[in-house]
Amino acid sequence: MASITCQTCNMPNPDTLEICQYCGTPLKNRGTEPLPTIRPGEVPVKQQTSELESTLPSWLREMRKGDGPDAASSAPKASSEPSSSKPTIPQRKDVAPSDFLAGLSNLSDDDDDAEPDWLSNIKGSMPPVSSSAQPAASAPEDESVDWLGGLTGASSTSAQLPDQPVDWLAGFQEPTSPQTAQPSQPSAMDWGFDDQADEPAQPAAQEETPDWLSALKAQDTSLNTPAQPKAPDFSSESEPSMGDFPDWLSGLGGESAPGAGIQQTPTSSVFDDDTSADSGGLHDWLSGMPESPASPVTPTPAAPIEDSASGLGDFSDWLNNLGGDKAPEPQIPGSSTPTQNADVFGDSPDWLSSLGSDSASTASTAAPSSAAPVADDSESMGDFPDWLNNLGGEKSPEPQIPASPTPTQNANVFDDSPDWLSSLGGESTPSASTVAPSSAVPVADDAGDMGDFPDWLSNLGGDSTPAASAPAPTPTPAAPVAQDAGDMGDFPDWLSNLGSDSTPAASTPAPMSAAPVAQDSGDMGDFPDWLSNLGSEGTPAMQQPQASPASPVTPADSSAGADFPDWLSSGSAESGMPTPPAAEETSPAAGGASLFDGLMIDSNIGWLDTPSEEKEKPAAEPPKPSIPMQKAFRTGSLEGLSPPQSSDEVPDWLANLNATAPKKPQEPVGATDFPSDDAFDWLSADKGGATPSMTDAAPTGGFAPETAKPTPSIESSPSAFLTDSSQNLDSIFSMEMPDWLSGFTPSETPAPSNVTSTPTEQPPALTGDNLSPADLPSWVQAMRPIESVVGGTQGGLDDQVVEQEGPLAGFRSVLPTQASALGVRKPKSYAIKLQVDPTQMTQATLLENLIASEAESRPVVTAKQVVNIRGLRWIIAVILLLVTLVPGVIGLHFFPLPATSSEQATSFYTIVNNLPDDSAKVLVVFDYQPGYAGEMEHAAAPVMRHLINKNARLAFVSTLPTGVLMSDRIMDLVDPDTNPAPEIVEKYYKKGEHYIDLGYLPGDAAGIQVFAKNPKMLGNDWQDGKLWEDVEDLKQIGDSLANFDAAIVLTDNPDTGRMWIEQAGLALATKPMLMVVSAQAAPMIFPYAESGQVKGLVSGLVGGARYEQLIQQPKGRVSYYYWDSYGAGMIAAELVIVFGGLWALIQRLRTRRAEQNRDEDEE
Amino acid sequence: MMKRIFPVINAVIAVAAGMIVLAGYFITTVPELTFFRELLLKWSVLLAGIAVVIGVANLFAVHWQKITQRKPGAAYSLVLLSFFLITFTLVLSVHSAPALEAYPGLRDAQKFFLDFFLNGMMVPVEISLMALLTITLLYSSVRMLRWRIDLKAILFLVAALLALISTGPLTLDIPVLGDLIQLISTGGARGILIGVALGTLTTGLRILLSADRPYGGK
Repeated sequence: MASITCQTCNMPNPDTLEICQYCGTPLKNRGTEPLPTIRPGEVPVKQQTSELESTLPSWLREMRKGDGPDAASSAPKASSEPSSSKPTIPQRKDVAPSDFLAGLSNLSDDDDDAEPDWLSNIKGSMPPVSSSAQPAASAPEDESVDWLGGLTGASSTSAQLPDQPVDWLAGFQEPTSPQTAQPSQPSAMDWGFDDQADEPAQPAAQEETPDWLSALKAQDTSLNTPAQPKAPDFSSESEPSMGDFPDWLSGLGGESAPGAGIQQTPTSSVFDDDTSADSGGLHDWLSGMPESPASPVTPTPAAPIEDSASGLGDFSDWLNNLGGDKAPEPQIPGSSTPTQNADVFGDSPDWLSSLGSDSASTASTAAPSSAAPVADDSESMGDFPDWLNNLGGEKSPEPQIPASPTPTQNANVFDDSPDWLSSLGGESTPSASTVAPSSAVPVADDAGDMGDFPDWLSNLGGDSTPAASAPAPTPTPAAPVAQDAGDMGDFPDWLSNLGSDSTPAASTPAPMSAAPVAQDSGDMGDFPDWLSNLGSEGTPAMQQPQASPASPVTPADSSAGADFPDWLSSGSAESGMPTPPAAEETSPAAGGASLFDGLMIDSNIGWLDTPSEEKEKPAAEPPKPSIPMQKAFRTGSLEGLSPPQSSDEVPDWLANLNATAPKKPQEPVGATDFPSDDAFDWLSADKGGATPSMTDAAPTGGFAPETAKPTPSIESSPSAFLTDSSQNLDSIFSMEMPDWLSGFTPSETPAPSNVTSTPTEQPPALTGDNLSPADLPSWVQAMRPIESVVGGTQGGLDDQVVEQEGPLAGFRSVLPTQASALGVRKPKSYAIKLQVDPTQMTQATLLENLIASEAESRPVVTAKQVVNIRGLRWIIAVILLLVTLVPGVIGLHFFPLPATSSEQATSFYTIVNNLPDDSAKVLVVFDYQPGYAGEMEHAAAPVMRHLINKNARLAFVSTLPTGVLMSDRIMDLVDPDTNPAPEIVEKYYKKGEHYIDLGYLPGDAAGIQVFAKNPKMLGNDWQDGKLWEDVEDLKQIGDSLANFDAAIVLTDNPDTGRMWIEQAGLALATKPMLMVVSAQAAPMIFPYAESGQVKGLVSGLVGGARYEQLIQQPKGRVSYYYWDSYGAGMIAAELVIVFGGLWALIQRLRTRRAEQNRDEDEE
Repeated sequence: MMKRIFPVINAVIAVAAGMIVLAGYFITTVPELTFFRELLLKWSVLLAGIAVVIGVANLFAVHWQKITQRKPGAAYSLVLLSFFLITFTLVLSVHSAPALEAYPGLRDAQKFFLDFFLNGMMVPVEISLMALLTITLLYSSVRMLRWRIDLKAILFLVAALLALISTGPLTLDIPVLGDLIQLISTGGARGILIGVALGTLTTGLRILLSADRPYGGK
């Protein structure tokens, strides 16, 4: 055989194992495969549950899977070696790979990833192994924290004891062996049997246990107080065997111990035989379970258990033990020994032992003497969880179910309850109905429906189913048991074992006493509805026998049970456990064997298959009337879920969730005690649905007189119970409840009263007609991995989100939160193009142009280069030279002298001519530049000659530094020595005698002003220094300009002329101011001449020529030598300007036209 | 402190002198005012004469600097300064004419250089420049329409042509044309003179009101 080496401990393991037998490390990595994606808009396709199995976390798959063969191998070990009590984990796992407890053990050790939170919580609260070894006084304290803690504690111990499955599970094996009953084992103290045995120890255990559990305990104790006297015996017996189990398991075992203690030996023998042969998949501790109960009871009930064990070959051992424990319970009626259960559950966890106690209680109900064991059970229930207590409680009333006159109540209750609860109740209900042979029918339905349910759930149903059939002491219940076994093909082993356990409980056909019923109901008052429903499953059964012990109740219950989750239905089956015993009694071994054979057949898992023959048995029985199932609650999102008729398509755990009804039956009992405020919504909802059932139960059932007894206990217990329970509830449900759980709301229609009034409506439920194929509802589809929502994504394990909180913690890709929350969708595309109106566009264009123009370089406007035509210049110069020189040289006298003189020239001449002869004092101002000497000298020479002719005394002054020199040039012209034309100068003037040169007069206007006011400021000649007085005639000039007879200004500058006019005109007073100006200054001085400020004006060469004409100088210099040159030059200049201008104009026009033509050509 | 007071003092002096001269021009009955007016005018003539001397000295210094620093055109400066000194010396000799009476040769030399510098160099050079101006003006008149053809250019050219014709020997016998041209020119000259008078008045008033401070300061 090939072996696989564990990567953790390096220990060889058989290749058949998936988990290391030494350290529990998974040997094979089993990942979760993603579901096919569901794209938006696609309608979820109906899928089989088996198809979805690959998507389940490994731990769930482990739970679903069961290793029958190994379990079978382990079972014989346990049976054959009861003393060893150390079943190896590999055996357990191999034998029952589907056992969820086996998965738990693995998870607790290794598989942390796939482990859900609730399981991890369980682990976390598990007491260490050492704690289990502590004395009983301390053990309850550790284990009372959480009833599940014991479970994990047991799993944790598995790592330490590889050979043994789990400590607490091993405890199940221990009771199978007679040695487990050793009172000296300290482990028994741990598992709380001491608490059960010692009443003073119970309060301590209750203090440490969760409130709601303790409250449940209190109720149980109060209800079972009459039976307490036997508790010491029970505890004493159970202590040794329960030593290794957690309290809740030990409690369970304790309950079952009474039966087990009695029947240990025969049961073990039976198990040894059968399990070794068939149910090899059973764990040792499970296989040990049935041994103890089976043996004490008659061998006949043990047979079905063996069968179930064989059928439940995959069941975990401890569950098998449960079944084993309860298997004998049916025999309890005969034995009425509560110690059996104590023995059986001696090593089992409390809650398991409580299950056993339930069965024991049922057994106690069978016989009046069972009151004491029942009381013991109630005490023992204080250590295990309420819902388990309820399971046990369910059993106790079950015996009454046959006697319950109103079976419809249960049916209604379960109809109204959630499916998964109703399934539980339903399974229990048929147990009640199993009084009639019709109980086989619902069982058959259940078998069909529960095919896909998890094994452990189906086991519950299976348990309940036989329990339902239990009330009927007839052999017919055996068939239902087998059917349930077949139904529970998918159920976990341990649950199926529970069913089997309950089956013996059902063997207590005797009507239960009201006291236990009340106890159960009271116990369930404080725990959650779904837990209380478990108990309520028994409650209606209790009520039914009271009100109407008629069997018709069972169909309704069974039908309701169809809605229950398998695992709950199995719990309810525990309530029906009395029935299976009857069946077992009727069909002892064959029935049980066929049961598990059928389970093997139904499911692919062999250990769950049940022989078809056994299935046919219930089918052969008269069909039960189908009672339409009515749900007591609206399941919110679960509403669309159809009952798990074809559980093949529904995941087991989901199918269980769908069933919520079973709570109601419990609530009637607990509702009276529960403050609704303490309950959660879904709990309150359950209450609401349960309340009517309770009210109905009260009047209808003859339960009332008997409840009078438990009432005070119920009332007394809740006070202290509720507070603690509320705390525990808070602590338990502190995690956020998912929506689908919070969506449980009480339904309106399924009022219990209606149910009770219409018992006939329940049969359809029994038939399972309303159990539609388990189509995955949309919300379940939505819970599939996110890849199903977001198309195109192929998420692997890494992409799958593992829930971190809440009850779904640990589940991978359960809620597509990412896709839904983020609302993944294609982002809306927005147009990038900017929307602008024409105005904005225009402005933008303008701005763009402005910016562009700024960037452009402006062409530099260069001035046109002036083309200097030197030739033209020379031409003009030559022309002017020729026209001026030729006439002057030649002396043609072409141009005639001006015939007429101008008015100003004439006036000038007149004034000079009118000057007094030889005494006239004339001021002559020489204010012209040497450059204008050619014009001015020829203009002023006739005037100077005229003055000389007049023999006037002249005073020369100039406002220009060069003007002084000009006077000398003029005097030289008239100087007879130098004058080439002496005829022109008639009179020779000498300096200092005839004239005086005062020189330069600075200061322009101011100098003129001052000179005009005081001419003698320039007192002497600048050259020879002669004074005014030296000139004879100038002596009279004095200090006034007006003393001059005339002032003649020779200037080429109109401004100078104007200045003399303005500054000296006023000083001249009446004396005339005469001006000889150049031709260029004439226009500016002409106005002053016209205005009279200037009395005479000679301008330019023309004026000199004219003045020569006036003085009658026929051969004057100007008129004779220069006039023709002047005339020719002026005409030449005029012609040059005219023709030159025209030529330039034409040239310009031609150039422009050429440019236009060039532009046109370019265009 | 002085920077603020000094401009004010300058302005006060300028305004006061102007106001006194102006008032003395109009108010002749007040001898003090006339005295101060004439005194200020004499100071101005003296300052103008000194300014000419300073100007001549500045001219000498600038060209001397060019010569000493051998800057471009230093040769021209050297010629200028040479003739400056020659002329200055000749002029000084002129003023010493009485002393040169005993030396008639020296006196004739003096007169020769003075006449040479005046009649042989200064007057012909300047007159030749005026002759070149004539050629340039004619050339410009011919090229003016080549550069720009617009109304202003045409009018300017026509006015110049008419002025030449009016002053030419041929038009002297055309009284209407001569008188018309003289009338037009006289009208324009009057306008110019009026404008000049107004400008001079405004400038005088601004200076009197110290609005303009050609003597410095803001």
